[in-house]
Amino acid sequence: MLYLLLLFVLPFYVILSVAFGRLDPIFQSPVLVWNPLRWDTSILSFTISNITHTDGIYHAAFIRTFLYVAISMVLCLLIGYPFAYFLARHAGRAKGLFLALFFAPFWFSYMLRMLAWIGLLQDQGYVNRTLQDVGLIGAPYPFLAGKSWVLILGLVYGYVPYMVLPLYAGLDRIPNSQLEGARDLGASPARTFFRVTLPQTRQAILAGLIIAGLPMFGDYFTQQLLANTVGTKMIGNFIVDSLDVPIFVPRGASLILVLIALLVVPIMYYLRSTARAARARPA
Amino acid sequence: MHPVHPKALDPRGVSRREFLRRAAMAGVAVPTAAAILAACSSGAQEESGGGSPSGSSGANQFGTGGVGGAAYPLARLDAPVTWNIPDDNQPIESGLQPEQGATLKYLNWPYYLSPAIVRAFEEKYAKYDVTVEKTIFPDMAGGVNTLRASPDEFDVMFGVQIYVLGQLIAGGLLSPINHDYIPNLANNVWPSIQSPFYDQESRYTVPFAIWNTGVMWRNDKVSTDIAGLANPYDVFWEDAPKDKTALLNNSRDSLGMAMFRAGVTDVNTGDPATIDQAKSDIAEVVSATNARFHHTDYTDVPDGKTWLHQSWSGNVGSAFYFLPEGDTAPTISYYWPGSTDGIPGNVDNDTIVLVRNSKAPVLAHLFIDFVLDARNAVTNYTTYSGYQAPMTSINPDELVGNKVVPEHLASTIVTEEQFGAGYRELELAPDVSAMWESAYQEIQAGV
Amino acid sequence: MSARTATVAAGGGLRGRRLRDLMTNPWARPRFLWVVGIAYVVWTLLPVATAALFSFNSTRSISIWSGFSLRWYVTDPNESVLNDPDLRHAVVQSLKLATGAVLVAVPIGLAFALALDKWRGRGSGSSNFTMMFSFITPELILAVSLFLLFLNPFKFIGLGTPSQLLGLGLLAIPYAVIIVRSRLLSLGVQLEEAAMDLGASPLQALRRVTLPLLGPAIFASAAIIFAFTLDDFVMVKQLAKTGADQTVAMAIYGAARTAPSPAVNAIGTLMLLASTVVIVLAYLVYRRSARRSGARFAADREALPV
Repeated sequence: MLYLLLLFVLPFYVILSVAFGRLDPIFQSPVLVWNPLRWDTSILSFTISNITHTDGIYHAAFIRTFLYVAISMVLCLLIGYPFAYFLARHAGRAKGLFLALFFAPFWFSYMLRMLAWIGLLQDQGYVNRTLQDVGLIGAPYPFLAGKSWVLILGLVYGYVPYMVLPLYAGLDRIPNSQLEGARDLGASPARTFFRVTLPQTRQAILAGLIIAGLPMFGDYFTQQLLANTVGTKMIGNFIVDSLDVPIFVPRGASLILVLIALLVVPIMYYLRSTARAARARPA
Repeated sequence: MHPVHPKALDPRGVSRREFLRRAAMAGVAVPTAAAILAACSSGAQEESGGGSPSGSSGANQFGTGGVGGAAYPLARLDAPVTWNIPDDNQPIESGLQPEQGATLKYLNWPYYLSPAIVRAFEEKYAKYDVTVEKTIFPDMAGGVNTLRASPDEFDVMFGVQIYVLGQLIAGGLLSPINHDYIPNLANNVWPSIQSPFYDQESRYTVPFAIWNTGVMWRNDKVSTDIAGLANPYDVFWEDAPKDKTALLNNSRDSLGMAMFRAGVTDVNTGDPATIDQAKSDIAEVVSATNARFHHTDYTDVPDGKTWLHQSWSGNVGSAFYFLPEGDTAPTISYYWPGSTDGIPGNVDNDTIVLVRNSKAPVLAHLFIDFVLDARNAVTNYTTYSGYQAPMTSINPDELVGNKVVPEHLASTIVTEEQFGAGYRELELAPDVSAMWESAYQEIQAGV
Repeated sequence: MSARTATVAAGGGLRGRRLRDLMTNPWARPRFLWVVGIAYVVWTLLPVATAALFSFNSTRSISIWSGFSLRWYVTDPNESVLNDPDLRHAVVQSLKLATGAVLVAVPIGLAFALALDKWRGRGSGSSNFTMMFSFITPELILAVSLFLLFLNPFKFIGLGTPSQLLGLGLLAIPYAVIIVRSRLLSLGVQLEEAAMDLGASPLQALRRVTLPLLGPAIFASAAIIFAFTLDDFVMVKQLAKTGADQTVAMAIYGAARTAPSPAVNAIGTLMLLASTVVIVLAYLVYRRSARRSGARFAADREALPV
């Protein structure tokens, strides 16, 4: 607990003191201000106004990030649910094998997976060469030149396992007897799915959306590796770029504060629902 | 004069371009006195202060000379700075023995100092059991931050650009140099930069590489005759290929190029209108071409990932390290717009500095001296980094003839005359720097 | 989307023999779902397989295959993993940090889980809450806050390997807590109470009954923490100081952004192997000991926070 206090709670306060602090006159590097009474909120208001006004620096990036994450979350769900369903209900004897294969990306380096895609999507990569060979395109398509959809697919690829995990757990929990019962009562497979399976996995879907979606807000490296242009920059990029320039570190800190403020609702929802679920389970 | 006959440049022979190695040996010569004098005079530039309202000399506790605007003097060509050597930061004494069993840690750009040279240094001083450890920074800002974050960790830093020197010296991060350990500075380096305006008497720095900032492109993909344009910079605004264009990823080079195109020669200006105009111009390029901001042109252009790239001339040379042996890169072209009449262009040099609180200062000095060795500098230039070294042993006028540099890339060579006449990126006052950085961040935000 | 259309299609068109199959296996078309299952696995794993494959490429390209070679592993005199000290060092640093993270996080996580289990007071909720908060917060936020922490108030620690370790520990503790706790919940208090009825002190009961039973969970959390901290990127990059602190993930990132080379694929593949070995080992050990102690997988899964 002490560990958490020192390394988790205290750093939050550090972020506050940097965001509300001053700048050293010689080197323009951030000076922390601990006393809340002497906090300077000008940087935070600068940041917020740049987010809310349409020609603000961060406005486009915020909207874009939310858009990317939302689309990615939906795609993760659409891809993850059928696979989780398969895993939970159909893999049968191969279940262990498929589970293992599913878990594999968790412990494969995210970087290596992105590197793989870079190799495949480059101008001379297999994707372009295959497309050219079958005649779909004439010249190599610049996949890595700042395409939003490539970035979104990259995010999906990276985080879909986080979606499958809770879905799988939720689907697996549904006892066969319930589904058989529904069948016995004359429901078609579709109705069974919609009326029995899906509602019970609602909690799992939300959990999956949160567990897969939240990390995406802090992602900056996927953008840097797969897109890396001005038009695709996300909040994470601005935070990280701000740290590079000493005078902008307070801006970066205030961006983090805003991000936390925005994410606190889904975070609290997740924490409450898991706590509730834990209490509801028999000890 | 005799071309110096080499022993092998390096027994391990990292040279991947046989003809260049042969040619480098043949290209060793001494520049004429006229060239030296021409470089020294450098009177052709107009210079103004770095946007400081007071404009007074920055004499204060850190150094004398320069212009005001910051807590430390800002060096200008017509206002050179002599940095103070405070009592608590004296250079080490002469004649000391190298440290035993030390790990020498240096900071550097990627692909900037040949590993073969580093290994040769370790071997030369093997009896002192020295190990050399490298830490890479991705760009100048990253390098400064790394140094700042861990001021007691490193010993030497390469590739330090002039416009960050003031804050490093005033910040107490650097240690003055004892030149008794670095005879190669006086012996081998261009006399014109031995006591440069930004560090008179070379108290804290020695020069490392020189370059000019121009345009690199794939001549099989871009058909414009860039060298023939009245204003070569226009290619970024008029003919730049979509998704295949890139600019350098720092505020000074990118905004500076827009300023040069507009005919502004003072790229150290603090005039908000100028900066704003440059920002809009670059934003225009970005929105038209989806330009990326990068300095990996040395792989991106040969790979075809980028067809038109704002580049440092040395990166053209770096590209050769990644090409197959014997490849003369006929599809890659480079041009320095400053070569065109009436068009301003940037030339610059960077430095090697000694970090304060180094745990192995003698070895650090010896390392710097080793890198400034004529043969080592030439090796680094021709076989690895591609950045020209301001060595008296390299005659820029003979590099093409001796096949060190392919003729179609002759624009990468910086002659002493060009070096004197080009426009430099100098240190800015903090409020001016903030303006530049904000403008750059706004470009990055697509605003 | 696909399951739905599959079931709708099925419900509309098939009768007779198929209907009997439906009775026994009433949910969705198995064949279609098998396609989904295999497609997903292929889509997830194939790029990684290509990355691993290209580490054996005979030329420098990571996208054009020119033939098999061990050049990037051993034979290239300058850039192979064997001969390039930076690459070797990155491998060592990754392994070092992962091991260190396990050594930090598992004991703390174990203690935390035991404490949460026993401590029914008011503090336990908020402790658990804080821990779960750190679990769900995006890693970038944690990394940057620690970065600022170690640069300013905790300057005496500064950046570098120790702070990288502390940061990874922060990330890893929740995993240990969750896994151990789920096992604790499924074990229940009966065994410990029985031990105490037989005269053991609480501490003895803990040491001789609970801890051994927790063995598989401890081992599993160690393995999982090892595998995922091995490849961590955001935290270790933010807290790195010199080139010596570079890990494989950072090396891959750096190379991908400047000059990709198969040598970097090679170290990535090596890490892949390391993780796989560890996980497989853990799985085998867990299964064997769990079978022996008769635990139920289902009960463990019940307790997971998903």
